[in-house]
Amino acid sequence: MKQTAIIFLLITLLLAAVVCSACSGAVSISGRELLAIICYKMGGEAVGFEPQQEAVFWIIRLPRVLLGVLVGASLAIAGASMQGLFRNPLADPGLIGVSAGASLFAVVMIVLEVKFFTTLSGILGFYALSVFAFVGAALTTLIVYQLSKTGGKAIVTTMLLAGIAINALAGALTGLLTYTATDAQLRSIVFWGLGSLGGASWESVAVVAPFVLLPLIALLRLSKALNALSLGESEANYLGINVQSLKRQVIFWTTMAVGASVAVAGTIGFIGLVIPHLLRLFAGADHKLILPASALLGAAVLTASDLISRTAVAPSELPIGIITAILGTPFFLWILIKEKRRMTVL
Amino acid sequence: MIQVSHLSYRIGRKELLSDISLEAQAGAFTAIIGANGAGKSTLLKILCRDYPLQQGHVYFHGKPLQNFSVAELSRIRAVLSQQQQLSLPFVCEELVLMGRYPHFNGHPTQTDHQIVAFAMQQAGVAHLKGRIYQTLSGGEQQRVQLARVLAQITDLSEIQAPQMPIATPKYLFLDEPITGLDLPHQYHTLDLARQLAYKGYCVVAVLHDLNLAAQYADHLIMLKKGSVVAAGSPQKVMTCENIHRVFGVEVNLMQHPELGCPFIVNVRKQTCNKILHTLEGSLYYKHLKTDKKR
Repeated sequence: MKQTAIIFLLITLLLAAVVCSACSGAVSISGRELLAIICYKMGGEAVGFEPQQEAVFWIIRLPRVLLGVLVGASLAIAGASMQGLFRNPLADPGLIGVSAGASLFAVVMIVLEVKFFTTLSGILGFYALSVFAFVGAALTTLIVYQLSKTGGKAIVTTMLLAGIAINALAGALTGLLTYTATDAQLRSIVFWGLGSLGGASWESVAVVAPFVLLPLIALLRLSKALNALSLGESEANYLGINVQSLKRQVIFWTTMAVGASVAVAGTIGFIGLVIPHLLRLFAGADHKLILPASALLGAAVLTASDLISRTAVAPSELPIGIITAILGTPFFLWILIKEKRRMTVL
Repeated sequence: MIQVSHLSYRIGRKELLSDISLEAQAGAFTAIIGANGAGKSTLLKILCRDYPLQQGHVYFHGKPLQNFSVAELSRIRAVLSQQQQLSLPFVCEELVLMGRYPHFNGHPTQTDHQIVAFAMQQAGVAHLKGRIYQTLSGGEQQRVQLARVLAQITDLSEIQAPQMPIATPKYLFLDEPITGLDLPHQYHTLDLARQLAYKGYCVVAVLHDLNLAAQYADHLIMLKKGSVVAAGSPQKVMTCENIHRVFGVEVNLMQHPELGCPFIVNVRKQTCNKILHTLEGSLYYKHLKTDKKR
């Protein structure tokens, strides 16, 4: 079957990206050494590698690669679901304010931390920034959703407009705070805004994993309903789909997935937009295939991008958001031009 | 069978339907006719539960419409709507398979695939298998949607014994199903609807072509400004007076040579005169203009 073949191919691709990324860097690990380390971790003998390699792999590389996989998968599947919900192949989780809200709250945290949030960060420790960003993402999405509700129904076009408005507002407030920030704060704002997997540790992986895996499972179960929704809201309803509940679920789960990703890795653009689009060119529109395939390809692409960001200008690091945008923009434009040509042909 | 009693519907101050009562029998093809803005689509949308029930009652085989669950309705009632736009590039059979969504969880069964193939054949789109929906012509798209709608309410038993009456009540709603189709497909679609009605389906369609409505429907409901002007057999409803009342045009009625149903032909003299009149007017005007230039 074509579908199984595509999924199998993508799994292979993801594994390849993971292995490449885990082996490359300042301390390089060969395939044989990697196997030896894995054997050792599974209870085998400590032969065939150096202790330093094992430490780098286990403490630095593996959590970082895993975090990349989780973040990439969640961004891409959230993008695919959003495009299904908005019935628009150019939709993106950023559209309803998830990323902007998270950024605003993160910047608030960074700039005002000294004055107001010392107690808060004392309780939440290392994760204060992540938790705060997540709250921001959830809150903005909630506002956008409430604004778009008319007579108990969420109107999708209104949601889009409300999203644009809230995005602009959040952007302006972020700008205002950036303006008042000190030099040190500016640096962390900029770095956070461009995204990075540099903060990866086993703890951060453990914190993010449930917020990514739950939405992943939940969204995969909505694929049939999203297919029906592409016919239109009334038609989906004729086919027995509770459209209002579907909208709420998609928004809830995508916000959770994207909010968690933005919280640990900053804003990383283009994955959510480009990955599902790329897959549709080859694999059609069926969400049953597109959703899991997006998660796999998103994970693979983000892992590869992270590899580039770590190694391109070693020993320093490029923010990953720059890599995805540099790779993503030309591709996105290519899609636009292709669409335009198709329109003129039809 | 559908019973509607004292149904009214308003948006703001505008009353779109006022105190409508009617019946659509199972085993009959009921057509709703009337001028633009008469409330035909509004009525159909209330029957499809797109619009809420504001005033009055609607019963499907004796059960109030609002007591059906969305899932329950989706297994016995299918709707072919007017606008059919699709944002994502689905392949035809994927789209038709969506009609089976109310019937399976997770993966489609062999039966579902069988019914999809049958429905595509019925709608005359079996040859479009593998084509992407957006690349089809408007008429082809409409027929693929028809196949989806058929797949939704077809049972396996109907494939095995096509002539047998159906066991449970089923409803098919068609909103202007033949607009945009060429003549053979117009006939084919209406033939299909009629066959389904004879098997026991309750078929309700909004139609614009009065002649086709009279030829194919068993029961006509004529609407004007949100009220029922006439309801009954084509012979009873399609009279010169009724047509004049609803559409404001004078027509001649003939008898269909084979079916015996009324058949509309326009009153030719009046139209011809009108055209000549406007033609003369414009010629005269041109003449004046050229005169002035001189």
